[in-house]
Amino acid sequence: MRIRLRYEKTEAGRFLSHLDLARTMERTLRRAEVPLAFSEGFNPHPKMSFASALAVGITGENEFLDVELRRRVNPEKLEQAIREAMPPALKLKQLEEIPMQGKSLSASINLAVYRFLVSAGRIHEADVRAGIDRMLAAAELWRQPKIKPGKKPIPAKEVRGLIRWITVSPENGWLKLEMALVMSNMAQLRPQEVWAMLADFGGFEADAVRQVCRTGLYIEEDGKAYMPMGGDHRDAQRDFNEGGGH
Amino acid sequence: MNNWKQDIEPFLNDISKPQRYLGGELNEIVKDWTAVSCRFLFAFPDVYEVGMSHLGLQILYEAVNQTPELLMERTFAPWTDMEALLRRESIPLFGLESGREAADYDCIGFTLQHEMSYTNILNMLSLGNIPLWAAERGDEDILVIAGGPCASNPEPLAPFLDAVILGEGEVLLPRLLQTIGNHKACRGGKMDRKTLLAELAGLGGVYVPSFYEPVYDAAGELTAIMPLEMPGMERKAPAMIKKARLKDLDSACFPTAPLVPYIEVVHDRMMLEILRGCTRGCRFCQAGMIYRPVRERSCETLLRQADALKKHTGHNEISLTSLSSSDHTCIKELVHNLMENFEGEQISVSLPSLRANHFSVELANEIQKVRKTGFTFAPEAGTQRLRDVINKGVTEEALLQTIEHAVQAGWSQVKLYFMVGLPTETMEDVDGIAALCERVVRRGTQVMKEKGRFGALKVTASVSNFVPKAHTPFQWSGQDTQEVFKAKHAYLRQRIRDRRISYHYHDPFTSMLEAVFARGDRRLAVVIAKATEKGCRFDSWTEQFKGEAWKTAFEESGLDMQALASKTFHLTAILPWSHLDYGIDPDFLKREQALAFKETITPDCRYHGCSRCGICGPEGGLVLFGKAEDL
Ligand code: SF4
Repeated sequence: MRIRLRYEKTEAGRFLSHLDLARTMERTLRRAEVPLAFSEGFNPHPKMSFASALAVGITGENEFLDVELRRRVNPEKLEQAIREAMPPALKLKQLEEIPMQGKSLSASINLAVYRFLVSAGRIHEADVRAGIDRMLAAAELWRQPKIKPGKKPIPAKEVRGLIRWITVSPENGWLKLEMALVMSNMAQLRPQEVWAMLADFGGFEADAVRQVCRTGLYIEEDGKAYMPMGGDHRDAQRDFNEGGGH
Repeated sequence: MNNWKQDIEPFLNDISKPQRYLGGELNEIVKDWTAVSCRFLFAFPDVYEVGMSHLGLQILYEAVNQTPELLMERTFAPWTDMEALLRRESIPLFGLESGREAADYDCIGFTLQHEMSYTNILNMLSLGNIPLWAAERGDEDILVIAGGPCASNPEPLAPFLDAVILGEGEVLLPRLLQTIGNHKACRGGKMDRKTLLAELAGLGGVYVPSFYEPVYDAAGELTAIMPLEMPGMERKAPAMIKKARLKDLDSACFPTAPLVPYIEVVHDRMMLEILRGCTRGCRFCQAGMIYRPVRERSCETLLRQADALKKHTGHNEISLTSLSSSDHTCIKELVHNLMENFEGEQISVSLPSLRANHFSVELANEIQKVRKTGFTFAPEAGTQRLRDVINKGVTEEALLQTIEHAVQAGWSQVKLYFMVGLPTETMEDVDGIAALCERVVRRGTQVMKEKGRFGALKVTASVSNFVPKAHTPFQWSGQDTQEVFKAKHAYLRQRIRDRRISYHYHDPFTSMLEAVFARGDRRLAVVIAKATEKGCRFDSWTEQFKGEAWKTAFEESGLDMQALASKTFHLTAILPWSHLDYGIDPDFLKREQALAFKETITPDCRYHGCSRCGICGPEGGLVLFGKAEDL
């Protein structure tokens, strides 16, 4: 049996590395007495595959994981057991049985939506908006990774194609930014990097970002985007096309 | 009340491993601050990853928090980057559960696991805005206590501590905290410090340093430790303080739902304490003396606890801990049952401390399907003569046979622990370390050849420096000087030419500091304070160790560390810990010292009759569940 989990990496878990999270997840499944299937060989480990690693310091509202079991279990009972076994850093949102064969999550996910806050004190919403417009109007965007002393310089990359949309809106004295970024094997952008580029275009200084959250992971196909599982697919679609509904 | 975890929040992206400071782990207990009578902050003087690997923490967390009127929270030594942040932002040391500052609690307790953690203790007090010296603390201030193995000679720290717990904390700590709670409840939440300390001293097992006055003669030799009149009691403090004891380990509380850290810690596994105490009787070993008598848990209890641990933690490894796990009388049955229950779920079993015998290989073979890790043994000395001196009851032939079995079972790496500087050691004994390693390599490699395996047996020789410890038969013996240690290590380095043997040794300077504090008295307190002031922290972390600062601290205090470390005490001398009774008869220690010098062994009392160490009596004795057989 193979199952897919949709879960949240909460505020309490935001400083977990991907390895910490994987270990925490394995323990959770063991506590829930999930009959995990193990790999063969000298050092057997459970057959789990995550959609995408989440960086330290970032929370995730809709993260995904596939797990292989060595026998069939009632999915509802399973869902309840796993939900109860979750530590404060994680929250189970949904569980579904999926076909044994099928494309892996990491191979199908190709878009991520992020949200974060910046201080509205020194930065004006209008400047951010202007920055967004100018940046997205550019035909090409070149990102030059920081050159570390003593290391070989990394060549600059063209990244305009990695940004689908960006929005900004006020929120309780803060500015809330949301953005949809393409995930590709060739290049990936971190939301903080986009924010730094945006500051250049808007002509302001990039303040520290807070509460960075990956709100969802999507599969984009034929101009449509949907989550690998869960909720309302139309919501995801609107989310994707209109930029967080704004 | 402030939750300081919120105050560090904006800075967390800039410090290493922020999760160390946030708590919130699985099985964390957050109690209502106002619903309890005494709030205790357990302070581990090392980083989170070390502290969270310590079973003692988990046991006390359970023992205190299962008492409705008590609360225990945790704090750890902040790493240097975090300390800088706390000082820069004026954020005090805080408890991980509630985020309250240290000074808000009724009592803070440090565990003394080793001597090189002492500067961290003072630094944590300073970060907690707690007056450093006990004499400077008033009725409004928190009570500062300590416990753990180094509490068996807490004298170098005595001037900083209000009270010290001797012996087994899970018995005494809840009682001590309840006494504090009752004391305050009777006084509208206020404390009368002196009276409270007198009440604590009455509990038995609680040592209040300020009730004792060391007396020195003109030459600076300790001549007496005088008990003083206790305030409001009209009597003196007890002349001897007896350690607290747990009679029955089998029915004692054990944390089957321990805290499960999110980040990787040193020992990331279930810990099941299968027995406590060891009577093998190695004459240098403090743990083997102060944790007597031997008390086992029964196989049924252990299997039940292992099952509960599995359900509540989800770990994929269980470690059967104790000072010498293969000595449990039911170890075979236990390991067999655990393997049967756990193997299907890919949970591995580990035995951290094995003796060098055939039986150990058999056990290790049963639990270890994967042969990647090495086998570890501790012959401690290179010659039979010196092994008889230290009472390490292992013969060379037994060791070689064990190696043979291990190699036959598939191992190809062995780690051997030795010590240099043991009492009566000569260069012949030092040479014996190299010679023994060579014989192990030869025998092992020969077996590999016979089995048609390629390569050679690899041996890692890890050589530490003897540190004389309180409450052991070698407590009177002085340590080798730095020159002698260096000469011995230099000799071994050039003597070991065989490429199949790799040689590792410990820094003699840290060993000297350990010896000074392990047998030190109250005059050392000022040195610790000065070293802390000069920036000494995390002294057991090689890259953090500041030798020069320590040297200056000793010089400024007018103390000669080499002289203190290599001092040989007279058998009749009053020792700084003479008033602390760990149940071991001083005459037994003297007898053992004499036998050591006569190169005569004392066999384990579990198998060969009582050697009258003095611990067994009406307060309890040996608890074994199976047949005692020396394998
Ligand atoms: S009193 Fe005797 S039996 Fe008890 S621990 Fe000591 S030596 Fe062993």
